[in-house]
Amino acid sequence: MTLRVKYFGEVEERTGTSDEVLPKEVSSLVQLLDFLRTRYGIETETIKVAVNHSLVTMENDIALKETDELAILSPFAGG
Amino acid sequence: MNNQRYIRQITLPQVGESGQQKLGEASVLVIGAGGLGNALLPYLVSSGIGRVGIIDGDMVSESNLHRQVLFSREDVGKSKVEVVKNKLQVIDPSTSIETYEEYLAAENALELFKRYDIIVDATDRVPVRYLINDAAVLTGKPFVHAALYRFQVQMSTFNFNNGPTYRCLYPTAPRTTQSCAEAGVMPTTVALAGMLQANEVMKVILEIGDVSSGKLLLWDTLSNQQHQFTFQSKEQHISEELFYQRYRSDAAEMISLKEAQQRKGWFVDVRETHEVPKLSMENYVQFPLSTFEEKVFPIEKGQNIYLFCQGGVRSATAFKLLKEKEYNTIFCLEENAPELSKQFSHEEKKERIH
Repeated sequence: MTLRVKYFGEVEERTGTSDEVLPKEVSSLVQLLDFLRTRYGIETETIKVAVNHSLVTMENDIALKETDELAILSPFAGG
Repeated sequence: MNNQRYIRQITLPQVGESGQQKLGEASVLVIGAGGLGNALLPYLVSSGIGRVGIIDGDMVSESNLHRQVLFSREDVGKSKVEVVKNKLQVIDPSTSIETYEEYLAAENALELFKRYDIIVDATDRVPVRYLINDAAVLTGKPFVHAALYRFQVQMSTFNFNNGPTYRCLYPTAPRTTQSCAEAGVMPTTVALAGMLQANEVMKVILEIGDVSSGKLLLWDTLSNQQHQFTFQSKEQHISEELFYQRYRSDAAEMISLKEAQQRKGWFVDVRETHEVPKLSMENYVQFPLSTFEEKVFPIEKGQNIYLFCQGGVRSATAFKLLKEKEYNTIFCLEENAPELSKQFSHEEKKERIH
């Protein structure tokens, strides 16, 4: 299974790309968060994950499907 | 009400005379007279909103001018809220402009929020958003939020008709985030963000359209792509007691010179560089309070920082600004420059005698 994810804001700065295809072994929310922590050192407690434009709670694991649109965002500070 | 002035908006079927009356009866508190505030305030006022409050304790600095377009060169060093008030009163004298030359804090937030219908978050630090959020929840006010990171904007309206809040969106504050001073910003990006907020305020007052409640708009101004993300309410507990416990902790923590010297760290003089007495001491750094907005603080987080000035007022302000930037090992020195000057010349004399 291949999943595609978009990154925004400071998360995009950490990953160095605005979107990418995730490794094949990533097929759930928990695996996605593990990937972001280990690959990029992102503090996953403070980010939000959107699955099909809906921001999901991070408390429960969910299975991800190939057709899912994934996005990762974090709070912005500037004003 | 001079209806000729507002005739073009009254012509809209969604506004009409009754909508104009709603605007005239509405009151809005804008927190921050920086980039977002400068963009949105003229439109709140020109549309005929009855009462507009503005709170900001900051002064105009040169690095503000490219995006905070109500300010000009001769305003540098002046109180932001005073300059903004003078400009806005010219735009529409019928709006009552109320200014507060201070920063939002636990001590003033609840009383202030109670006096307005809608709160606009035009700040540029994450920690103060939690204070705004909790004060808005406690006083039952909607708050319109926007923030940016470089060319991207986020906008949402929280606590609208008991809808989701900032804590529902971001329950955990990040340890660090970059402000405009650190990340950089184009004036057009912050203006677009402010305009989204002003537009949202109009919708709330006029009760038209879809207010962005439970929805986060993310706009990438480089690609012109817009994304809307939905989010749900999460049950949270906040009481006035908890509010004061949470936010009153920013009172400056004091330390004596003797103890500071034992603990090691940096002595940061926040006076202007021309001020006397001049000091000569180890680990001494000059970083005037007036440069906090435009320059990056020279000392890394985690090191002990001892702030001082001439009389203790500016070092207390510097403490607050650094706390907002999530510096945690900061203290205000009990001794200020005049005492330090005596102390160090005394130690020098002792060394010479030996």
